[in-house]
Amino acid sequence: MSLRRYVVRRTLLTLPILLGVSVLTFGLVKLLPGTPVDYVLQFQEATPELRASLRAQYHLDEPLWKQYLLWLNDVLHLDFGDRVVSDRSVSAAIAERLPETLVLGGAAFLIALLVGVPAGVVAAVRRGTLLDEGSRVVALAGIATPNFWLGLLLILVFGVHLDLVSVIPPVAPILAPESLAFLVLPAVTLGTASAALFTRLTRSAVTDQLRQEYVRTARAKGLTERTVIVKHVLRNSLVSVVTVAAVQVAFLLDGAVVIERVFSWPGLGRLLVRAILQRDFPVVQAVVLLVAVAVVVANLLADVLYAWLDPRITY
Amino acid sequence: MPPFTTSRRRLLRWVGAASAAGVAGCSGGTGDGTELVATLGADVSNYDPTLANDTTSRKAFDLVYESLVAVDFEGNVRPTLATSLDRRDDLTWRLSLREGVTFHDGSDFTAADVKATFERYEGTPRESDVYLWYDDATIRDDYTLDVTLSEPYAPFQLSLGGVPIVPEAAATGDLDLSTGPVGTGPYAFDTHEPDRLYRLVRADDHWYGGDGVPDTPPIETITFRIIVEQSSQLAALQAGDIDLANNPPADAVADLRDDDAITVSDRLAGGFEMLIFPLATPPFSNRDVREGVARLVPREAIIDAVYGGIGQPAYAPISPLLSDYTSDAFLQEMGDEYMRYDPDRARELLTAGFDETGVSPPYETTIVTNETGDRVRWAQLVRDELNGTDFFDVSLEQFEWNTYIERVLSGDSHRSDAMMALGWSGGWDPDTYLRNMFYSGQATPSCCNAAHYANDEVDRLLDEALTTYDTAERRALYERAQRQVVSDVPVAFVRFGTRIEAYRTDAVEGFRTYPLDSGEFSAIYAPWANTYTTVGGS
Repeated sequence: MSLRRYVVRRTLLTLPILLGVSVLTFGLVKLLPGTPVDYVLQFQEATPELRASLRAQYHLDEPLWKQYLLWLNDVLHLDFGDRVVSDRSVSAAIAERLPETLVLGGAAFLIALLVGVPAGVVAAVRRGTLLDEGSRVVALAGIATPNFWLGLLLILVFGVHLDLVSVIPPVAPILAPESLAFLVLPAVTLGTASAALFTRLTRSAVTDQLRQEYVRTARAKGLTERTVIVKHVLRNSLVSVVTVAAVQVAFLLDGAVVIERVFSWPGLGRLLVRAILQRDFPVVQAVVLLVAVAVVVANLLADVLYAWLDPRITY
Repeated sequence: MPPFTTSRRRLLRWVGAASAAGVAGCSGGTGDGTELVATLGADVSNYDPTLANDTTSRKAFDLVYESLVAVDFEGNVRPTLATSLDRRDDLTWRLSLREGVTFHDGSDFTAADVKATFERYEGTPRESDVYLWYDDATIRDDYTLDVTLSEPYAPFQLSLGGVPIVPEAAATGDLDLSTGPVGTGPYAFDTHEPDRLYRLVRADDHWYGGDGVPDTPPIETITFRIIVEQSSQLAALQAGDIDLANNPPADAVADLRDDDAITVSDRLAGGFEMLIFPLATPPFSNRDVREGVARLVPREAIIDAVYGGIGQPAYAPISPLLSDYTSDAFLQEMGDEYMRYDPDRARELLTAGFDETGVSPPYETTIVTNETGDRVRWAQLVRDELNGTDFFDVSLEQFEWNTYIERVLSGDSHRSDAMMALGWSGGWDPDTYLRNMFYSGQATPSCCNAAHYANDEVDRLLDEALTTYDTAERRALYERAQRQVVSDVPVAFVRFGTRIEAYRTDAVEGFRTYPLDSGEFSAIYAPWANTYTTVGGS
């Protein structure tokens, strides 16, 4: 099968997955105790008529299956409706925050890859040395540290005591120098666990590859060690890193929920948490669906990358 | 361009002198550049007073809208958009309005705006703000209108203070308040970047012109940074990234007080914490058992351990903030007779109560609470006290807020076996501390009487007090109602709350803490209370 046909087939296969995700998204939100009406009314005294009219406004008076179909129909038209807590549209709220989350997640992902992969290679090449042991300890600490705590610690050290960075995002465009400077701490916080994971994973993959016979052949024909590692070993090791990298996309979006709160970063994570607490169902459904789509697409890309990295993989 | 909130010193360190030179040009502009950077603990969700049900939204538009009257820092009604309120008879009030006031959209303020504002509330989530008392309004001329009440309503003047006046165009649909609040206040809405910031700028021609405070607010721009995480808010205050932190957690206050750069301002507020008993369930159906538990609530220890010494033990519902309606002597008397921590007395009462109900100790039960840290910790102290006796085996259960509220207000929580830890916010009128919690018609799910406490005498007293305009008469009625409620012990009152603000000592001057929710920022410019705030430097 050609790569192109594979990509098309693999893409079509994601459709039933997405449909399943939509059912889950819709259903899980409905399982939350409380409705938008409870949130809107809070402690106010309310007449039964007012309650009923509010329920009708959110289609809560329809049977569940009909609510789902109404919602799915809107979603397919990329219409996520209006928010419960304000009369702004869900799409506008998401569009406002998507760049923030992408920039933060992208920076964290970049840090994780740029730190994790080289560190893993070095640890594998120098395995058994102090450098290898040191990277193991640091990686374990990185995976074990709750990012919430790490974030607050970095804020206290670099924001309050050393006063090198602002504790809250500067009022400036997202790609302005001061915004990017501010982004360093949250991106490091968010990327640490992933970097640690990439380190361990790359080390073990590279270690495996180094034992392969082709490495001996490559060395025997006189290639420099650098060429052996970078051109041969690393490329073959990356297959497993790519798989995990796709899963890490989900982790980074997950982590953003916490990091955005600690660093007051106005991204999707903040929107999602608040929407859940306020029973702002349309927002919760839209964001969860978006994240699910991102993860599905990331996995699709990973599958395509395999084929490119390792031509021996056939389908 | 807006002033940057990061300091110039910090920018220099980061991006070098070249780009800092560009930044320096941004702090000028047409105004004097004075800016106060404050915080909001959640995002603003609504600009429309008929929709906004969260305190964040309400405090965010507090300086933009004005009501016919304002309530000053001591609870006195002060004229603002109205110049006088005259009661013609029990049901009719004649309101004279201030002339020469304009809304931020340029339209003139007249009686038509007032009538339209009131009637916009019908069928909205905040309907009860107006329709608890409003029947009709007759416009006599542009600056006079008669308001007819559905029945005599003692808190009428105070209630007017909670109804922000919007332009008539908002009622006819010609003005959309969902894009920004439009009022007559000293500050106009500038911008809102969701979850990032909310900014107000000084209004051009606010109507005030008198002695005591400047004609226009000294601070040109107020930027509210939206910081959800409390620890981050405190770090931002300590780092100087913000000038004023709204509502920092009580347990951080001791640390903040040790910091010379920061001033902590705290004030008794209008609200209390309580433990609600499930009145339909033995042994809590027995009055002595309830008083026994109430006397095991270690209020002083709670205030010391949980709230850093801030607050006051509560022995009755009405906050001492309302000096016209309660007194320290009355509270102490209620404490002595029914509530104060007294393990010996508790043991006698519990012995008698358990005997009477036939429940054999230890009784296994729970205290339920939401996840608010302070509330969980006082509930733990109460649990430990109860488990220290032979009568109870209590465990603590925590719920996420919406789940919790649904459980408490469901309508049958009084039949469960769980005691409920909850807070209640009242206002400037005594009715707000009693009716929703203790009136029989307010039993859940109608409103918030989760204990399903029902006492004809209390109902009658509350109804009579609500329609009595004379303050001394009302005070007597509320004293009787409180005495009855406290002696029946449907809830154990725990603590009267406080409002706390912390600000940079060198940056903020003249700020005062307003004791009620959503009025916190009125001290920035409140000519009706002779109060205004300035910021140091520039």
